[in-house]
Amino acid sequence: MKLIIDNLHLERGDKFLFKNLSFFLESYKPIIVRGSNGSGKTSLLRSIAGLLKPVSGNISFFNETDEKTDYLHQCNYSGHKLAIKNELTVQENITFWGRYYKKEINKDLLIKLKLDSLSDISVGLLSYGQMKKLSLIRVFLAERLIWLLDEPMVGLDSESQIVVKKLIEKHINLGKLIIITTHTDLKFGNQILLSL
Amino acid sequence: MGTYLAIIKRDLLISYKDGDHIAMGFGFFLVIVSILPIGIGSDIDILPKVAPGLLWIAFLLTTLLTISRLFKDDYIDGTMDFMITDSAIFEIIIICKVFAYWLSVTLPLIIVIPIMSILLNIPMDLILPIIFIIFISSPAFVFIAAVGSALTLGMERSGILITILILPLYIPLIILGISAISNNVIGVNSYSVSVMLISGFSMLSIALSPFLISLILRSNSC
Repeated sequence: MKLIIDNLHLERGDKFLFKNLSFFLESYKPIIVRGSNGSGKTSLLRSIAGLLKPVSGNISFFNETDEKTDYLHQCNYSGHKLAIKNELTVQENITFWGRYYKKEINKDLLIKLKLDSLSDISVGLLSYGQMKKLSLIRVFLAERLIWLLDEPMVGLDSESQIVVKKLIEKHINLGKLIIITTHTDLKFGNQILLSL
Repeated sequence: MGTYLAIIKRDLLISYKDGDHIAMGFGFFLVIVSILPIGIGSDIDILPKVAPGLLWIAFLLTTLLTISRLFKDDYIDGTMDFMITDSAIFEIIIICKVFAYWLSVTLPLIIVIPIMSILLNIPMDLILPIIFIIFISSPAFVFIAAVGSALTLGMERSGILITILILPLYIPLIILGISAISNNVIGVNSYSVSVMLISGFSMLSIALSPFLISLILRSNSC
């Protein structure tokens, strides 16, 4: 299983971000993307998720049997926008995703992320860190093949960072693919560092 | 199917909890229907003649006023991003969102039409045909307005722009609707022709608008 990024050229609006970027993502080898603000980390993830059209270059996915297949539906992108509804409670947001992805939420995960006691609280009243954890629940619930996580640790307390890191490691150990952008000192075994 | 039902349920719950636009739509509809007859003057015979058209215009303007948020919240909070890339069919997601809007805003307006009709001194035998014609044309109203909502997604105060963009597209529907009601009054057979044309217009809107909206929203996200 391999996601190949070939000669990618990205611009955001009229701003040049990078060109001739080539790399590949494969099982058990997470890619950590680092770079200064505005270097194009988020745009790279959005481009891979099909949310930003590259100026040129190709992104292709080869499955376990080395067949080239469509991968966009296998992606789960979690960006700066948290994709949670402030009008709803924590539980209502989780219930929606459960129904949307037809999956049951693991109650232990809510306890570990300290979201269980907040289930009846309106999301608009949560701190940013709590919202971020709620947003990540969607990614964990969907169980997609490719995770594209943009700054997943931002706003999280140290205990929650450990829980999220363990879940990411579990994803990697299942042979699934992941690209993470981060400014924190996030490290995984066999990781590949990509600097923009 | 569960995925799509989840979207309808969620949007209805948000509409229920954050009832601003429902209340605003209801209030706007009520104000127009109450104020316009005053402008017509004291001649009580004129009101029943113009009232069906008044109801029609009030209904249409309320739709245009309230639909600007249809995709905006999902766009701003990032929900649109995962819906566009997910395995669920985005065009059906759009239909679900428009349907949830129809249930939360349009249907209550249709339900209060009998009361509004009495306020406007519309003859009792005309109330049912008016409800029926507004009901069958309402899918066209909301799906066409939803295109406007998608087009003005990134803009502040998009309500007026949607009205300017979309109002001309409603003209055939208004002509057909008013003619259907008039023909019903004078007992002309072309009532059924108008009804069929309005139904066709609605079905065409349901069939084509989701693809157009999907195209607009996808290009917006890029």
